[in-house]
Amino acid sequence: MIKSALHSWGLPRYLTRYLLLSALLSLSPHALSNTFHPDFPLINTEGQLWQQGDSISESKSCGQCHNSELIHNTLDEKHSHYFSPQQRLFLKLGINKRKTLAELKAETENKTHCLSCHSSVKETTLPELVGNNNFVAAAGLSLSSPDSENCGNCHGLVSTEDNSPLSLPNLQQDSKLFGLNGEIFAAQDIGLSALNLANKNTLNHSFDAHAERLLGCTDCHSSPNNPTRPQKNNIKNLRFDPRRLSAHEYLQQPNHSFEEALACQDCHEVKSSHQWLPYLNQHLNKLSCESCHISWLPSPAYQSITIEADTAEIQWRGIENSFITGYQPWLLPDASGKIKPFNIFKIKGEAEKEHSVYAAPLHHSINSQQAIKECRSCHDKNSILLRAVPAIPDNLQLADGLIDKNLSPRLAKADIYLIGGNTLPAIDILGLLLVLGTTLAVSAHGLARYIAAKRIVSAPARRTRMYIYGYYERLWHWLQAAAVLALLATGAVVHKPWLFPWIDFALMVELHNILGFVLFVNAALALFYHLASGEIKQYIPMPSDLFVRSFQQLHFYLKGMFNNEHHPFEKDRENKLNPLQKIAYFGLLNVLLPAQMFSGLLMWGAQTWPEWASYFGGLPMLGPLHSMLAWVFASFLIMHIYLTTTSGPKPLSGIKSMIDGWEEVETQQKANEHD
Amino acid sequence: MSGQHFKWIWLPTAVLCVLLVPVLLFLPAKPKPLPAPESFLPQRKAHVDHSALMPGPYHTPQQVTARCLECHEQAESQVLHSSHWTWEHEAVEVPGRSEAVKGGKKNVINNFCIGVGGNWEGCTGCHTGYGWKDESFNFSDGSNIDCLVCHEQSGTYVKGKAGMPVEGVDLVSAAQSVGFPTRSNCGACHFGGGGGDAVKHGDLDSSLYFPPASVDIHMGKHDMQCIDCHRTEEHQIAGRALSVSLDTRNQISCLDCHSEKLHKDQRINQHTSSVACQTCHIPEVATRESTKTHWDWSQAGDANREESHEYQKIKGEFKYSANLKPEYYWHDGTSARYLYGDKINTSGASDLNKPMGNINKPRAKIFPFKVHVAWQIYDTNNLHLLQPKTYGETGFWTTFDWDSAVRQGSEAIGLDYSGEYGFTETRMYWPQTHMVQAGKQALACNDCHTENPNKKGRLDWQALGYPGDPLRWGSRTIRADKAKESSDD
Repeated sequence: MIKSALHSWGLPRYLTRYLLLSALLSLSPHALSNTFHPDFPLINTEGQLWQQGDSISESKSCGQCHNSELIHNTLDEKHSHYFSPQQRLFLKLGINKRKTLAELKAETENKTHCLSCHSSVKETTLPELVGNNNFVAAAGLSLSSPDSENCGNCHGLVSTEDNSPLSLPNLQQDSKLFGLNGEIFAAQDIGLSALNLANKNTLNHSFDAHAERLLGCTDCHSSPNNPTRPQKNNIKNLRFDPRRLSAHEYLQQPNHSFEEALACQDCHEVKSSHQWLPYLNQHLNKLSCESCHISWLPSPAYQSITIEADTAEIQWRGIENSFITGYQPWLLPDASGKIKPFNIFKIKGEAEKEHSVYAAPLHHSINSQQAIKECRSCHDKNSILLRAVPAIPDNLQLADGLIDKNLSPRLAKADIYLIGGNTLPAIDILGLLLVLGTTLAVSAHGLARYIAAKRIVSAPARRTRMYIYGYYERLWHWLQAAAVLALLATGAVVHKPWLFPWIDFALMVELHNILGFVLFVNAALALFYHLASGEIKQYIPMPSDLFVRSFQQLHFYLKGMFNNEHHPFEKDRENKLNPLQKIAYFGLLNVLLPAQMFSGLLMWGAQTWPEWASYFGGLPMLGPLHSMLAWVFASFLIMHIYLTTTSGPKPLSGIKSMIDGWEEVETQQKANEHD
Repeated sequence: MSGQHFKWIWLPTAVLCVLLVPVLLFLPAKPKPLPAPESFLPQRKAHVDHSALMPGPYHTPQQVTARCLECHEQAESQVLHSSHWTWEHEAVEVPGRSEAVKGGKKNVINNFCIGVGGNWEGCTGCHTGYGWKDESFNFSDGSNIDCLVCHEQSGTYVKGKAGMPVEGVDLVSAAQSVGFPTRSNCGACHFGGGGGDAVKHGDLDSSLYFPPASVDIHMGKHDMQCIDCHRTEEHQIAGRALSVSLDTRNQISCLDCHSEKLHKDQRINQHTSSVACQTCHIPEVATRESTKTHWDWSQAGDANREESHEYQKIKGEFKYSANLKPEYYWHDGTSARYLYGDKINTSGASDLNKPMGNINKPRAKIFPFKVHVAWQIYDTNNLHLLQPKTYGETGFWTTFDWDSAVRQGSEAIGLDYSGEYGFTETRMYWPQTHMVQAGKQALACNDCHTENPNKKGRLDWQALGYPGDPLRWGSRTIRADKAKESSDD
């Protein structure tokens, strides 16, 4: 626990920041100097030329050229005043219901000044820079657009200094609210910093990739009418509108509502650098860039804050005995349905009703070196997306029931089905029972046959060698068999990756997709063949097939074959299937296979046509359905393969006949029975 | 009949093909990894043990050479044509000069001990020969070749005056130890250039005898030898020195082994057309030993000053720098070499080997240099640099008489001397190419680029010809007309 006296200090420091402006320029070799801004006369609060002793009006002085009215109108309210660190904490967290923003503003006299953001020089006062002619030497102020250090004066931990090792701010007086999320905006290599971090020498990357590449805060948090800001328009045939403000127009009337930052994709061509990622669109639709690119922070952050009358007691996470361990942000889908990283901490007010939980979003401390690239980081039962949160945040609009009673996210509530992570146990238990039951049944049947064969010795049935399966039928059958087997195998890895840790998850996903299409094309061609050739009629059960004849066949399987009876129905080229086969294949080929293919197709298509997937209930519906059907397929396969052993004189005769087309069919019944 | 047996094969074959073809067609291809740089290195052969082949005894080093040449018949003429023997190279056309001119150590003035002519005995301690003590040395006599200095591995072989082994050298054990040249052989001369360890190059010093990876990634982490990059065939050693060579024939490059586009980050690869590998990968040199950056000959001869690391009566005043940050210039591989008799720059420092190239030259890249500044003697009437005789009984280091020293020196090399002399500032540019650092120690963006344009990084963009930091102002665009102009320079 670290006591933080946030309230007791702050004001004088901020006052001096704008009053004490640059000096000793000539003494400092690294002093900045912008020689482009013209010298200008100071104006007093009366609008007159400033004389010694008058009070200076910055807005009138700068307003001689820049439209100060527009600037004040566009400047967001939180930036218009200096608030004490405690006030800013309350504003940020929205916890101080005792005072409104207006009341807080009334509390502080300190309005922000132009120079507090636009000058990086801090050592002297404006009057000191006034020359004999009442003009301020602008070079001495080095006026420019705010650089990162200007912003860092109030916000978080910002450092553009690369020569001295970076260290943490005073955690007892976190005046810049660094600990909201622990983000560090600095170009320095983490390994070269002064942070007392575990395995520091392996951290060979910067604190923030944008700081490393010399982006400043205002590059993303830029003025909306800055002519260099990327354009957005809704005109189909226009990529870029060259009718933009010129630099001088912008400088006269710069819009100061710069709170909204550019989005990652305003600058980044995400797709070209993520080609390795299967289901790229799906990932981009459901994950913010930050989710993967801020996987871990090398810094501490708030764990809880206890607000008392004028102090805030902070408990930090990611730090143990002044040894920094860092922390992993929690990933939650917010109101937009996109998963984003947050630091989640509890706020304890004086009264019970003031207790709340705050989730601070993360946008900085970006890097690619530690970005999540391993599929199984998420697609696993120990997925980072399923990690329990410390508490349910109050400031996020989460989907109803998103966080379960164990504080783990239930992503299905946000319409997210995490393949390999979100499996429904009921489906798998049911499926497993089905497969086990089938296996048991066929084993028992096989055993019974074996015993019966030993017990009853009789003359073998008369058989005729007959050409039953044509070339295409056999090709289609085996292609389908191979594809289904491979799909079951690859699907199993995708479904439960942690059972197969040595297999490449992404490769299985890609193979599963390709094999799915092979299956689809094969099925479509087979359908065409069966329709065009009329063979389809063999598969259509007649009414008699459904009852009497099925019963006969069933009777054969359950009783007749143990008494060495013969197959009740004779087989030939025109009558390949017995009544039970007709029913089974009719179901398989017209219900199970299409359902499995279409559910798979919809899941695959969700990356490009999510509306189709959501029409059928979205992935949280399709995923479990697809898994269930896969279990049914597996059961069918077991049954099917077993039954092939019943058709010919030897157990493998059935399979052999499907390979060469010739089968030795039983022929003791009269030929006219089938006419 | 046997054919009938295997007729069924078509079925699994067809199934397999129909499954495999789409898999091969649609499975996303993974990018091929770049070939490992070490795969481009020459194979190291085991060297034949010569201990039985060199029985000795040897009374003179020439006897060792004679023994070597008995078997290595070709070596004699090969060495006689190598620059380590001739100390000059063939005359080449140079921009701005009407006649082809010869470069080489023998023919140019440098910023340290100034020149070879007249000072042979002192300088030729690093010559691959025996007995070069005056201008009468016969460069076509192979019997004076010093095989041992490059090949002996006993570590006990030391050369002295006129390149003769010093007293006490055991020629037999040196001769029996011969092998392929190692860093020790090359370093014996090249690490101590300029009269002491680390003095001359900045990027070559005794820390490279047993270098940790932090000094040089090639020689440290991978224990590479000099000849792994300076590949040598028929005794012709690859590599060019900007201080003495006037052209770039036989130059070696990082790209002999490394791909130019090997960085994972495309932004870094964007740099390689304008920035040499060395610029980022050699952020500092002289990391273990200080290197000499200033040499003021005009202060020499003052008997009243105390001898120190910074002052020697015979040589003058010095300054050193450790962890030297290089200076950066455009460089196309050649220099505007100052040759005997060239007029000096009367309005400032004279550059002895200013790197050629500018922002408009497509072949030029920004390259790191150690710049060495000297004050050295020149003829105030003829306005050219003079070459004093420093070594020997009549040399400056004994007599401390400049007039006599430059008179003798000028005579030795055939230079006019009017009788009046002064001292002028001269600058020499030493390209930094050793002491290469791994990527994580290389320069990062903010070493050169800055977020705030008012802040300065390592490179002076305006001086290099850019309108401003190319991060914001864009990289160089080479206009065809400008490129032509500059190639006519």
